[in-house]
Amino acid sequence: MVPFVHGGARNIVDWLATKLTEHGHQVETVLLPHIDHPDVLFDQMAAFRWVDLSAADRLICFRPPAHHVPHDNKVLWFIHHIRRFYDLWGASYFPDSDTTQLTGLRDALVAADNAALGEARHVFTNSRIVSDRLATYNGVDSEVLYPPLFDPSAYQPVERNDEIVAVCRLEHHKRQHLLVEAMAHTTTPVTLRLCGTGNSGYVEQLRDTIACTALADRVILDDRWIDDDEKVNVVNRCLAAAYVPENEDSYGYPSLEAAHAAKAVLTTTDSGGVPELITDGENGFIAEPTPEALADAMDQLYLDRVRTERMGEANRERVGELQIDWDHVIERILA
Amino acid sequence: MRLAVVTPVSTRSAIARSTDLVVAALRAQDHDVLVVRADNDLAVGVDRFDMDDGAMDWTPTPELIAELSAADAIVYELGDNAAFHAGCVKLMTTFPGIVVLHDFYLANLYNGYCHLHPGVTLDELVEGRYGPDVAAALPEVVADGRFQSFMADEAPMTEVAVEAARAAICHAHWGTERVLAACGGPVTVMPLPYDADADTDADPDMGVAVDLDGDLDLDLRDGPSETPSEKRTIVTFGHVNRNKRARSVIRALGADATVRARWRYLVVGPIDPTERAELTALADQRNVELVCRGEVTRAELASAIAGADLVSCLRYPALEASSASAIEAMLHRKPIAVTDTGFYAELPDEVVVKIDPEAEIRELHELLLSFDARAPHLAQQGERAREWALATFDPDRYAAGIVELAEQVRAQEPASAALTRIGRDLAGWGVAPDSPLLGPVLAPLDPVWS
Amino acid sequence: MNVLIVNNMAPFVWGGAEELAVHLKRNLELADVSAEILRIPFQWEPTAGITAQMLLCRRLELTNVDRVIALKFPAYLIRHHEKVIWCLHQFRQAYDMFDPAAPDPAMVANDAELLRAIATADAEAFGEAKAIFTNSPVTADRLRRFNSIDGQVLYPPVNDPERFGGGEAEGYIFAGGRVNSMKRQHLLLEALAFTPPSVRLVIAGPPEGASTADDLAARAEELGVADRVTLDLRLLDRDELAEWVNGASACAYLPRDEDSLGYVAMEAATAGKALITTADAGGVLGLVDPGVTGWVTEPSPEALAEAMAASAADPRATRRRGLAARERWNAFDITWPRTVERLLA
Repeated sequence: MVPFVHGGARNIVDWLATKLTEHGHQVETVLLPHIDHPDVLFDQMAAFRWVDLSAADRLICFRPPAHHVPHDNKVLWFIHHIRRFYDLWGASYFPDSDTTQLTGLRDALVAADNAALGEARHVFTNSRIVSDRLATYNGVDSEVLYPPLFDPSAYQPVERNDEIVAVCRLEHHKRQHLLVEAMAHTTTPVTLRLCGTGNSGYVEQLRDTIACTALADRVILDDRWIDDDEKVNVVNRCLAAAYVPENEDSYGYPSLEAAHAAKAVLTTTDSGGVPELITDGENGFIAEPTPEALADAMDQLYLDRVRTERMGEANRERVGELQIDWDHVIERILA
Repeated sequence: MRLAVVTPVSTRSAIARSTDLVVAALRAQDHDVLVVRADNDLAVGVDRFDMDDGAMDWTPTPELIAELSAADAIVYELGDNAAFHAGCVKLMTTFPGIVVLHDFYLANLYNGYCHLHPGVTLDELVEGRYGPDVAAALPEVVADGRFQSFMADEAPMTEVAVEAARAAICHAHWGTERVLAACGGPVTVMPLPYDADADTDADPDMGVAVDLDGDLDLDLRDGPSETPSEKRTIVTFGHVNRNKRARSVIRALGADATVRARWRYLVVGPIDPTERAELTALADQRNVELVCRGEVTRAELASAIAGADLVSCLRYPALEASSASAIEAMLHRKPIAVTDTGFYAELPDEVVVKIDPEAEIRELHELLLSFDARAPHLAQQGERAREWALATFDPDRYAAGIVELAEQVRAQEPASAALTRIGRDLAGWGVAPDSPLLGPVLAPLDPVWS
Repeated sequence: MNVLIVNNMAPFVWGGAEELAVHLKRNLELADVSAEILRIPFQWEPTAGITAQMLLCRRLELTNVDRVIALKFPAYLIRHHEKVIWCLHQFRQAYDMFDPAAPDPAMVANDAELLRAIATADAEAFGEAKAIFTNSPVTADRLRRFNSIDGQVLYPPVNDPERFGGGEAEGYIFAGGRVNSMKRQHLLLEALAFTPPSVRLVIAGPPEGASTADDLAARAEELGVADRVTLDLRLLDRDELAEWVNGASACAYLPRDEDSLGYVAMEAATAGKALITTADAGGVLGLVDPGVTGWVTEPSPEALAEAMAASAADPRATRRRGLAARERWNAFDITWPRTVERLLA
């Protein structure tokens, strides 16, 4: 973890701890700091190797290098690698990847990770994508265990208004701008609601786009922190949800929230993990990542309401098919 | 990859000669190679191989330290001679790298180094690695002339050379046991690179034939055979030590009149006057024609080999990790008699004649006696030997092997560096390097870092 | 400003230091500082593993942290340029609890080397710190004696003073805190047997050790005081505890050589209750001025009985001593806002 940075990766840990406690287990959560700077990667790996949690009957490890903590009875719920040395190797924001030192470091890290992964009695992941990476880079077999929402029961299809909602952080890689640009191409009165806190520069950019395209009456930009009740209310009443990130590892909590509320999800072909949940035309739409294609899908959602509702219901069923629930998680993770 | 190679560069060194080939191959494979001269000033002389661009000697100047620190790997070419390899000893513990062992016996290197460089004594080194009993015996074995054999058995210093090494390269499998036991990194065995044709343009007048490493540098020009007599010639070349088995060759030659009449014995290379007198006396006594040529130029040596009918590479005990003489002879397409031991035993049976060290006189005598009858077969064997040597002692393959090993080492580097920092923490807390406290520190790291 | 509170943890164990860290976090947040607690696992047995765990703390990397407040060994070995140590305790087995004549059998064979490593690492960590506080004069004294380091005493405040408003005395002497032989609740039972029948005693708190609760009950029966003592031996929630304190006539607390003022005594003083303690109670004596804020006796049943009887005999005088105890406590000015201010200075 990084101190004072909260997010999905901590939620999954906290939620699992709470659910395990509810199931009568004694749980202790250990969060240790880590940075992925090359110069200190192995020093920190050593630090994690020295962590003594032998007092526990079972150890459940999440983010790297937690899987290096030794334990006789350890399972991993692996949610990502140290990505700059794996799937983001050579990516433009890590420009020095091809120096021989870093290549050596990567090779060494992979070898050490392989050994640590091999110590686990079972490896779970949060998505097919992460499982595929483990197979590709480490030759490790794993089981996908989709992370459920903490309490999905609040999500219900209360009504289906004219809004397509996107509730998540306002960040460039979440690409709310694509949705705003798409709105300019729609031909129906469908509306768009964007909720979430985020990067102030990006929010300004969104606001400018909305102003320039004269969409103010059909796009609501609600850039503030909204609590769970408010979020539930928005999702429960919407027509459909949109989640269009660029190449994410998993389907994302917004997709899952929509599914529990029996709402169809609009996503893009390059969103990464979302298609693990969504099948085009079955429980949502998977459009090309262009404003035109997204606009077309939005119009369809608005026009063919029967189908939109049917896709929403199918989405709720899909959650059951994938066994995205805590009972399943706890049964598997303690097996 | 950026490599620093610490090596003798003098043309008087056979090791330098092989390194020169490797450096050229590495550069041809687009690697950036810095050559650091390991020779002492006196040993370097004026004649150096091309690999030396004159940039660096082994004095640890800030420039050299910066270069070594920036290198992806440092390669130390190590042989049993302090004059040629002092720089390796000086640098390789501070800047650990890949140690290339041209010999499995390095007592002369360390003995010479310790004489030349106050501050470290052979006693201390021997005691540190082999224990106080071995160290205590040193004065006695020096006094009664048993130093070499004692060190070969008890303290060959091979372990000392690779203790700090990130990896080691050997040229033969025999003898690797001590290396594996002492070296923390990977140990690989690759045949010593050698190239018969690379040197054909060398000026035969340049340089001195005798190589202080114990083997000879050779000009490989296939000159016309010398035919001073009707007799066939068996040749032994190199520094004429006891382990070159000259006495056994003389005894085999003198074993019967036929052989005596048919063969003469040519010994080429520096020879101690006493040894020369003893060999001459023995030859006279057996009525064997012996010619001791002494130190010769490379050209003279090359023509001596070319003119010989049979090359003796009998060595016992065999201390070298690899034999330049044997390779040289193979490249000359010569029939070669080798002792079935060490490096020589690892040569394929179809390229040399192997002589049992326990029956060397009898077996060599038989070979000499049947030589004419077997001549066509032995000529074929010579051809096979050359082909095999060219394919095996190939610098390109060797260079690729070094790079592969350097990559392995590089993958170990993060763990080594972290261990160094952890070691500093512990040393700062007063924890001794051999403290039992280290066990629980290192035990959890082993499974993921080994 | 991001303040990271760095503490150790033993899995599935929760104690005073954990509680202190939580309240420190809460009070930092009340001062508009964002705070988070880092709990680094530490397993001190077997002692052979201690070196690795010291290195663990040393090798962790912190980012996004403006200040570290470290509480314990080896957590305070963590590297940070703005590190403040509020030393609750060092590894006492290496210092005052280490007896060269009778070394701890759990220590590894070459314990001298381990002890030196701990002392050297401590010196290094304290040398790096921007400021060094200790939780009591005793801890400060140890730091001076064993490490030649001066620390400022910064008593941990009462975590929830609002609960201890005091109240009308309901006629019992209250003994709170963890129940074990070091805290000597058994001595109070024995003293009770020497007091007049009107004296009543309440012992409440989590028992430590498998037979502690049963032993105390049996002892009460044996002494014939079972009808005058209430044994509420469990981990009470804070409101339940405060109710016992607020209704007490006086509070008794008899630790052996306590490092600090002691939460039990501090809470009692906050609630305006007179204190009964023994001359060997250590830091607690800082709050108990005999005849003014309470009673200090020899650690014998008879001597204690005398104090207990006196407290019951004159409720008005006892109440006066209680109010004086509160005044004494307030004079220390040990409050969370003041503590946070000093830690962030």
